[in-house]
Amino acid sequence: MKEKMNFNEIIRKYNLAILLVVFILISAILSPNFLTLGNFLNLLQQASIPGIVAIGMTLVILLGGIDLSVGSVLAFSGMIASIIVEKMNGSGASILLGCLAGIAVGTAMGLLTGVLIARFNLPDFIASLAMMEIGRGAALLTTSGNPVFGLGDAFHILGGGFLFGRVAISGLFWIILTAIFAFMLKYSIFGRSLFAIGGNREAAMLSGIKTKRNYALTYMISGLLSGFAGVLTASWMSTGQPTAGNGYELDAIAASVIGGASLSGGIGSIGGTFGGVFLLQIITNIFNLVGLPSYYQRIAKGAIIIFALLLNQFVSKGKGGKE
Amino acid sequence: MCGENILEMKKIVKIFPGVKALDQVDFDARRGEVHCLIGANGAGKSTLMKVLSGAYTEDEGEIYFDNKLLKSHSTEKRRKEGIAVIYQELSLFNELTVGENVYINNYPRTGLGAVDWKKVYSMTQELADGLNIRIDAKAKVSSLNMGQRQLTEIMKALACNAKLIVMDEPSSTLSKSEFEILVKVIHDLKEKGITIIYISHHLEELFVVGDRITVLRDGKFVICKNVAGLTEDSLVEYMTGITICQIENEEAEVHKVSDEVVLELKDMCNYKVSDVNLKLHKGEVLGLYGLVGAGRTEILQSIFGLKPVLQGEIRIHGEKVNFKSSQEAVQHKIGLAPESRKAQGLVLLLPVWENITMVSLPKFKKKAKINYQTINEECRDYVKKLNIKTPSIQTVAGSLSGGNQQKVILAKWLMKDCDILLLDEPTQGIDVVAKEEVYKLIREMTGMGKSIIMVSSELQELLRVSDNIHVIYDGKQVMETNKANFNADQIMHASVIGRCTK
Repeated sequence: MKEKMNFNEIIRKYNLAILLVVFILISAILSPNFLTLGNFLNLLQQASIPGIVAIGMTLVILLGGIDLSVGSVLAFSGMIASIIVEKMNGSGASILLGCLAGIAVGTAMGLLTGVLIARFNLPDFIASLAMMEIGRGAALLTTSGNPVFGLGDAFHILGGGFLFGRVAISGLFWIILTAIFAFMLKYSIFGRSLFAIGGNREAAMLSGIKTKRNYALTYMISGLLSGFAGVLTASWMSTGQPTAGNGYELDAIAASVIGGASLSGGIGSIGGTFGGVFLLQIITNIFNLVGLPSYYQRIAKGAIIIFALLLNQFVSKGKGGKE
Repeated sequence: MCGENILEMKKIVKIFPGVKALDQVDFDARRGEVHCLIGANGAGKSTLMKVLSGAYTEDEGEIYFDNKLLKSHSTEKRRKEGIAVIYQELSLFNELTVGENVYINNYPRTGLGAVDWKKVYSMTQELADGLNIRIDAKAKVSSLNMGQRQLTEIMKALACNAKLIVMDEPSSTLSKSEFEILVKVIHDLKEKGITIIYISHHLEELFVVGDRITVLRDGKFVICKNVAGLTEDSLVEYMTGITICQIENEEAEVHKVSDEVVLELKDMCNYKVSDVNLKLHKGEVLGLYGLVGAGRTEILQSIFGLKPVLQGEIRIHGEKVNFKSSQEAVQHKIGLAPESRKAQGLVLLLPVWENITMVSLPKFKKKAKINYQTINEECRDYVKKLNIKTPSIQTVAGSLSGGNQQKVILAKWLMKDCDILLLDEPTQGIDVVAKEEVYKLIREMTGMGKSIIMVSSELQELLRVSDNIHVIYDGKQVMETNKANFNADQIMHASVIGRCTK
């Protein structure tokens, strides 16, 4: 009995790591090109932008909320940045201004969503759904739906550049942000308050935690990260694309959940989400390497989500309990 | 009246990781008997009943029911054998009718296989008549009072031909008259030869309904005796292992209340209460007594900044305050242990340490990051000091027993070093032993110079721990009395009729 419990605990704890190893092994068997350093650096680059968005999503999910607006915020922020860079001919000042403006727009949108929820008690789902529509509409409106070209080579470095010729800069951003937010969740008062608020909002409020402020702040951070991801997207593609980031919200939610987050709040981790994003990216990657049509990818992704959650539930069941 | 044994549980052992929840427990019940099962929280009552119902599988031991050895371990099969369990939080469907609830597991069918609704309701009515109870078979459960819901559960058990019914704290939500009906029904069930296992924290009830009483303590069998030979005091002794006079001796030491007023309410009104005047002195326990819904909780809410003060004022250490939020109250060193531990007091899925540090986390910040080492040390200190029974401080709060959860909440405010503590029903639903520990803690806190306002529906405990008692009736303060003049009858009276009778 006791040994079995330990076995379950190991699976529960390393659930995601086990899944990752299994998929890496399967992928290595399916394609000789998979288990190469080049391919992994490739993966890092591809996963970086959805990964940065997913960090914000995980924070929101920790609260027990959900942010459907991330994809639209990403697009609108990217458009704002691109337009500024393009109008000012890609000069150094324009890049700085564009980036800041893009991030600021994302931050403002996130804050607005957060205030609507925390201060005016709109449901998370509805408030962020509304912001998703507004953001997408605004992104399309800026150029009547046309992409913005001619952003210059200098701007491309941020999201499309490589260090030592192979390590994606955007990937480094992702890793650094993951480390920062993982640290924040464990070692800051604000970070711990998210677990308390997500676990029981009323108890947190009655313990003197500023629930409303922190709630709005978390959505603001999600907006900030999406805004930054939008700037990176525009830079990586050297194009301001008003349709960018379509469906990112669902990928980010999926990654958080695969990474162990609970949609009812209070449970989740940034490290887990990092793994979740990576896992989803591996699936895309191996399908591309093997050359299967992308339709299969989506079916496989859905199956993985179900499988990851079932595995989680299956191992939690043997828990038992007293009285 | 009582026949041979219908149930024999022999040497039952149940082990959870780290805990022996049941240690060689023997339990039997006779046909047509009301057998009471008591013990402090964590003594193993629920575990034993879950083993009986098939929800848990025993690690050792045997269960004989109706002269047969029970082998299968499914609640479904046990129910078919005739074992029914009525849980404290009833398992009825509020939006369905009484009849639907009673026959939900075995609807009578017509020849075509459709549900025979006529029969559902006529059979439900027959069951009700058989128990001499008046209940409309077609009424929705949501329209019933708690007593009628309990009776619906009993009918549901009978509809499955139960021979033995386990009732877990059946009286906890019942009014006095509803309880009397329950007692009658239990008597009728006995006449029919049905066995009842009756679990309750309210010892006085056992002498009304019970035939025999079995006491468990720390997962072990203590005694099984006829009700006739027992008293409430002796039961408490068996449950706690401590004799009553020991407890009362501690009580004897009188503590002194200083003249310093720490909190004052002057003609305070909020949406529920009006013109409340009270003075809380340093080191005092001020009891607020009244019926549920009289406005006691609402007074605490205004003090804690949750409900705006509409008229009058609140003064803390002489300074007029007008809190807009709980954060301001916390900054003024006021703490609140809310009425519902699980829904308002704790974050159940977070570990013990995180609940204890929830208010005072900022003080553990060192060089811009939380210092977990000092958190661990201090939390272990509090766990030891308050005797919180938990495997470790990493254990999630939700898995502790009610009394220990309450202690975690108190630890939370102690760690913040609060001057004024507002305790709303601090001992609700916790067992005798844990209650004593909470009283002891309250005394220790006042000894440290903290002041306490305590709301309780149990007059006995307020009489024990309070220095002053205020009675609230329908949003108004109707009586105020100090320890020297406590008179239970008068207080009770004032709370029910709304005026003081001298």
